[in-house]
Amino acid sequence: MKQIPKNVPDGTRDLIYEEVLAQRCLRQEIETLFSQLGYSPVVTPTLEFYDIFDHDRRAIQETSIYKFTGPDGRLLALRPDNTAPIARLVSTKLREANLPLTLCYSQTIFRLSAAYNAKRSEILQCGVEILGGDKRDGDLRALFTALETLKLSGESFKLEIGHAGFFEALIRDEDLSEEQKAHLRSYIAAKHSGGYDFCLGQTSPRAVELARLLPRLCGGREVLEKAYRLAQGNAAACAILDELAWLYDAFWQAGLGDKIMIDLGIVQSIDYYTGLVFRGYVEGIGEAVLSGGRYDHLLEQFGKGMPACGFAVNVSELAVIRPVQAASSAAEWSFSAGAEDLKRAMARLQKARETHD
Amino acid sequence: MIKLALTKGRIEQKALQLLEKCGYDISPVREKGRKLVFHCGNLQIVLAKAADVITYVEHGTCDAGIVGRDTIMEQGGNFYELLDLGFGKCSFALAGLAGEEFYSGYGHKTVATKYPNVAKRFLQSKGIDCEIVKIEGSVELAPILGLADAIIDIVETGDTLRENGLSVIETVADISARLIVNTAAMKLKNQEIEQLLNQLANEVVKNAQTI
Repeated sequence: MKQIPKNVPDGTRDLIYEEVLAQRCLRQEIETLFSQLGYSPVVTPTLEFYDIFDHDRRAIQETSIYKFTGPDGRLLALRPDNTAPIARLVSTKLREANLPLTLCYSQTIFRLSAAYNAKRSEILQCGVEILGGDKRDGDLRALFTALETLKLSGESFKLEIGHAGFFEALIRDEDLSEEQKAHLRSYIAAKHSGGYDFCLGQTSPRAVELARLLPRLCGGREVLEKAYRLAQGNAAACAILDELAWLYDAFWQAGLGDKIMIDLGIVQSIDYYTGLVFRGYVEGIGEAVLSGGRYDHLLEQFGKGMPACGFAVNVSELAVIRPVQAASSAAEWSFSAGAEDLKRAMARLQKARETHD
Repeated sequence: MIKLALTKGRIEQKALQLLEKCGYDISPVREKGRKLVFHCGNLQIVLAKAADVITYVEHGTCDAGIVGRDTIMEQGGNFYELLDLGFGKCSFALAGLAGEEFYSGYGHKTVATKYPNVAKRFLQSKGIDCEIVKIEGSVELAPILGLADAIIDIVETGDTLRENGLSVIETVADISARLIVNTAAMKLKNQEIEQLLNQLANEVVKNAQTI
């Protein structure tokens, strides 16, 4: 007889009783919030053509995507991300819709991850995408939605904001090779304290200065003042700081500022985000549980360019730290007496429905 | 409170000296016995193997850690690497039998190492196709016994290489102990982390001046 494995694959897990309730409640609260804020729900297929994720503005690297071949020989993928499928949907089926479109979703994504690192390969994400319309409006809308989403998990959280273009604006005029720039990006992203000298040599003292200072530009409003000095009148960099200052100040003036931090040391190794980037952190989880930003060039890939921004929150992870609520034990139901039991069952169900309303 | 993981052994000793100079009372760790977790004022110190320091910090079960750049390069991971602590200095080097050319010829090369990821990245960056053999103990044996053309290993003084008839072909990277911090802790405990970072940075600068 064939031996059937007794385990689930690495990175996946069964959810049982209160684990299911925790995830379901959180998901419902988030969906209610999105609906109250005027987002419209969409669902896309779990399977997509691989090409949807493989283009110049890809968010997920090839080695993290589950791929296989469809019946016609075309390469398929288990969706590793929800934004690209929604970009596909918006630029095809919703191409005549009035803008801005504010969409929301609750769907699992699948990512291949290294062995033995306890990372999930199946993640339930809830998220929003704001497509078209005024960029400022979209940025503030996305951030406010993110802030309210994080609030659902309690008071111990931070939302950090940065900008994908700040570092790029600062090094645009430096004489550096692409390889040197890539080195510099990885050092700054890791908030590295040194070691960039060897890869930059004497070519760019300005780049070495940026590598030293940018990782430290993390904190409150004072960070922006320091950043203005660092930008030294670089018009593009200053415009970016103006944008961030407008967002940051708006939250403070509305009394919502204490949860917002600025991190100008956020740089991206991929060419995906084009403006605002943000991440949410919650006490008890060692990595960002929410991440998002502005991706104004993604929709071009699908033939209908328009500005867009959005975020996704990792509901699988966030549900784990929710206070456990005991699953209600299943009531005793008996059906062995036939018609008598069926009548009793219908009466009980009717009563339960009335009390529920 | 910050949970700080230290790499057991030499890095632990140097790190404790540094923390003591920063004003932390680390006497509980000095009288350790077999314990692995210690409360030192507003610092909780955990002792672990190098690779595990990274794992604990990456998962956020420790907020920060002190670990060698060698392990960081081999294991990788997602965390902030905030400070070069200036001790535990050595380097990764490509070494081979003295007098033999590693880079010449077109034959397929074999390199023995305890650090396969570091070796693979380095050789790929050079555009060299190469077999990598993972060795657990004294890597110097591999070229002597004819298993490999060269090794990639940690070199401190170079004495072991010399005594076994090997010499450094090229330095791969410089290594020293680093302060690493969990990405979420950096935001959620920003002030405490900044305080620890500044204290350590000040002492590192002082140490560098006295040398």
